[in-house]
Amino acid sequence: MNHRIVSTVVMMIVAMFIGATALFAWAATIVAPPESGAAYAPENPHPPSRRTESCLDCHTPDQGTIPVTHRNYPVETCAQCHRQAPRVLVPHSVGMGDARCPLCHGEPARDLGIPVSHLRYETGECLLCHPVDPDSYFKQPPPAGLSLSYAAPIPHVTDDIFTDCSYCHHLGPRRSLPENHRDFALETCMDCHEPGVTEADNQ
Amino acid sequence: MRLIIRGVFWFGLYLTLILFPLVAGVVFFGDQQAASPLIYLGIATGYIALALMATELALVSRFGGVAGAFGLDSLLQFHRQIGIASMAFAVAHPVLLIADRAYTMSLLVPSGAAPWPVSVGLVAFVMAALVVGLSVYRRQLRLSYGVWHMTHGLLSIALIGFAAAHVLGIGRFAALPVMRALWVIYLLFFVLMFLRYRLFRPLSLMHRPWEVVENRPEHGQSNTLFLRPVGHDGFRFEPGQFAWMGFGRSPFSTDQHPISFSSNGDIPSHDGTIAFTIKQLGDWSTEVVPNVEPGTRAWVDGPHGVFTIDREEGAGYVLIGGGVGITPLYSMLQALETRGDVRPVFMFHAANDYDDLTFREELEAMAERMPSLTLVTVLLRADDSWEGERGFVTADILARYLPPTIYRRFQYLICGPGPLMDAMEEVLPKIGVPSDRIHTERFDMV
Repeated sequence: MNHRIVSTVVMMIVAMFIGATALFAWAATIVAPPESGAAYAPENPHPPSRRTESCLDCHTPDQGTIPVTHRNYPVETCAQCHRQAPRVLVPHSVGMGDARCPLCHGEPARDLGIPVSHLRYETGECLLCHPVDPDSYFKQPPPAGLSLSYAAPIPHVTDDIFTDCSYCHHLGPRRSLPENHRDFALETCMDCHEPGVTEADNQ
Repeated sequence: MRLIIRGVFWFGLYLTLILFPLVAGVVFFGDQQAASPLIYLGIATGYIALALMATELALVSRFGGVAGAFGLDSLLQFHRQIGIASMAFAVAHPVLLIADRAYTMSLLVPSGAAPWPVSVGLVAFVMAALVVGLSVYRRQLRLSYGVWHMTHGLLSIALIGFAAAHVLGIGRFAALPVMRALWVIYLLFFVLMFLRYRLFRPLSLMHRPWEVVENRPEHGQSNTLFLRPVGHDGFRFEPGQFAWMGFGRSPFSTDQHPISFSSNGDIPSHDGTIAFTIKQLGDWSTEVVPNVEPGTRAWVDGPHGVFTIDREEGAGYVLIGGGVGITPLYSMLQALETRGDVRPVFMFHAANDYDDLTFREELEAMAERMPSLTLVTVLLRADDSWEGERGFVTADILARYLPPTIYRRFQYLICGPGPLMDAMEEVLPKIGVPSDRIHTERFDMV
């Protein structure tokens, strides 16, 4: 066979295989939503006091707690990529125990709310990973429920029947207030929330 | 037509074999396999690289059907070029991974802390680079053909083994049991193909030894070895074909060389003796061949090749040979004379100088006997008394001798140094010869 024909066939085949790799990536992307690459491997959040030699009892490809490509990685190699996450110390007293942590930190996306990734942890095990900062051992936390950000303005008028917040915002079984507001009396709403709409705005 | 169907069949099978892992990967895709698009691309290039390299084992296993459809020299050229391309895919594999997740680069630094599936992948990569690098740069590295041939085979098998361990140990898709099973079967197939070539084929040759009966020096630093079958009838071959030949106590030696027959395979009452003409070009042909004594045991695996007039029907033949490339063409001329073929034959015999013209007396005598043969000798260097053509074989020289009305319907068979064949593959289409009538034979692959 002609030498040039063979070279041409090789080039066609290579081009075809490059196309096949792109097609494969496209098909795989369609079948499973891809996860984006990260600049760093996820950091290891476990403090040394909680780490054991049995990491791989919990972190297994079968349970989906580590990538399937890590199935033959020995535990000694974890630190090769997964750096130790900096510890977050509690900057105030925890004299009441960590069952009370959710009062302030229970809702994600709130001030100092827990990360979404922590929702799977049980209440009461916060201090296992987040010990108290020794310098703040006796420091009292701010009152529960006090937001560090500006409280949202009230989106309606506050006269006539709207003077009484409890007319709409119930406590008790049909509570319509955020979880971290359950310790607040309804008479105290306007201590933080200012009327955002006046009668003049409505006219 | 039948040859085209066979070619299409083997080509389709080749594509199927290479793309099989990717197709299986998509079919058995699971949520656990989810990754980023760059990682998918990286996986695909890795699979393609390994599939190409595994298939390379089968390509050179002297598989009769494939060689019959394409010719072994074309397969060797394909093997070489695809080997280089597979290395490009192998390079893309980690590059795409690192492009997506730069921190994984630290795993590629050899250290005791690297997970073993990564380390074996790295070893496979280095071996692949060695296989390709030693093949491309063998001459510059002054590596003997025998040593190269042995390391090429061993490294190739080892790299497939390491790469397979890498895929099974770390592969995202190979985490699925069904994919693991398919991979093992897939790779075993290629290893068996290779064993067939390295083990079963030599075994079948054990009972078909040959013996050197004469070692005749020829013009142009060449030797013609005449071999006689011992205890068997030998074989017939088509003029222009070749065989793998080696010496030694058993056919398991890897020191085998593809050599064209220079004898006539068409003699009706053939006693089985065959001849190879070998020019002193490399270590084996320079150091071993000239010193081979009559009585030496030889092993011949053949015949192979499709560079033969028997498979190319035409209104006539134009044979263009340079240096020792005259060998298969001389075999063709002998067959044409024996058959009494009356179709026109043009033999363009190129050489550096007059002393370099292998078989010059034989060809001149043949031209006297065969009215259909036009012998044109082209010398690069000649004294003033030379009356033939000078320089390289060019379109002008061809035009001076070929009949203008019919030359496009001839079959063109070219064998010689690479530059001669490159030049002819460029010149002939320019003067209107269809590409499918231009046939070359190249063995100088490494």
